[in-house]
Amino acid sequence: MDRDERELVRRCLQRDEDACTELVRAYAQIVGTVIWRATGDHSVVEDLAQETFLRVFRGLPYFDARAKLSTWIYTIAHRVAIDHRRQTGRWREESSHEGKEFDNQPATGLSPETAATRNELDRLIHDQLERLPDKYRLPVVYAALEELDYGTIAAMLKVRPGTVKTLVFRGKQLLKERVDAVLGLRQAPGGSRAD
Amino acid sequence: MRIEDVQRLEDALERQPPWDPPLGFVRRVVALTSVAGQQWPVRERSRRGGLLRAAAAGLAAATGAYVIAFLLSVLAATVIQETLTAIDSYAAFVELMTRVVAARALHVAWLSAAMSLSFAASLVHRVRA
Repeated sequence: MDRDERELVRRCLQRDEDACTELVRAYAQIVGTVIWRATGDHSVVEDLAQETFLRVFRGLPYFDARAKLSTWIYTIAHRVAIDHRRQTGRWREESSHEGKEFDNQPATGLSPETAATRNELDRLIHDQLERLPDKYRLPVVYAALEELDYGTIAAMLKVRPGTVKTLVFRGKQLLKERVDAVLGLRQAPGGSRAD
Repeated sequence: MRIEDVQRLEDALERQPPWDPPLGFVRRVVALTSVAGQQWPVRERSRRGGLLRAAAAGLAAATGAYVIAFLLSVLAATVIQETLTAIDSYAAFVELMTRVVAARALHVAWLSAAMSLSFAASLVHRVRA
């Protein structure tokens, strides 16, 4: 933890509202993104992000100053998301079916046909990603966030960084195979969607 | 049709948008934590722990300094006393030192232990800082 973070934590512990605001503002987006990726449910992100910050502030007096604040916060966000998934029992698929992930992506500089193909493929990739086992899905989606390096993901998932690398590699291979299989079925004469 | 390479997948994954906190999210969270803050565990425990650690470190340092000074004075007195009698001969001096160390093995051991302890304590202090 660097000097600024230490100072921020110290001020938060003194219940300095400005410091709390600064902390929440600094981490809100990535915390929400981690939760969104982990749950796949956009509608629960706000509540779970709120719950994450409540846990952060509750745990702050016991935060080990030798640890990295961001890693600690992301780990809490991951746990909150996983707890939610366990409570709700199953993976919600609304995000892909409602197309929230990709519909709002501007395809700048692409022709309409290329953009449409890209969006279609992105949606297919996302659909198949949702069907991956969590063991592979979580490392793959976390690794796609530039804020999370392998060391951070390893801390979040409680595995070694080398294991994260392996899981990400295997997860991507598995995802590619599944996407290829669906694309192959679509191309085959009389073929239908695999799912 | 097939995906050419994994890079294509990575591009698609990285294009997924981040979550944008809705308006007022930060304010709401801070307000909630202020309310919940009444139930926050106070940091007294860790502060007390810090005070205890600091007191223990101070006590250890003071004791160490006292022991070192005592041992040095004992050794120095012996060395000076013996050196005056054997000042002419370097070999005798070396022999004397050997004898002194052998004769004061316990003191030397204490001195070494105290120095090791203070060195270790300073290292721990640096790591904690």
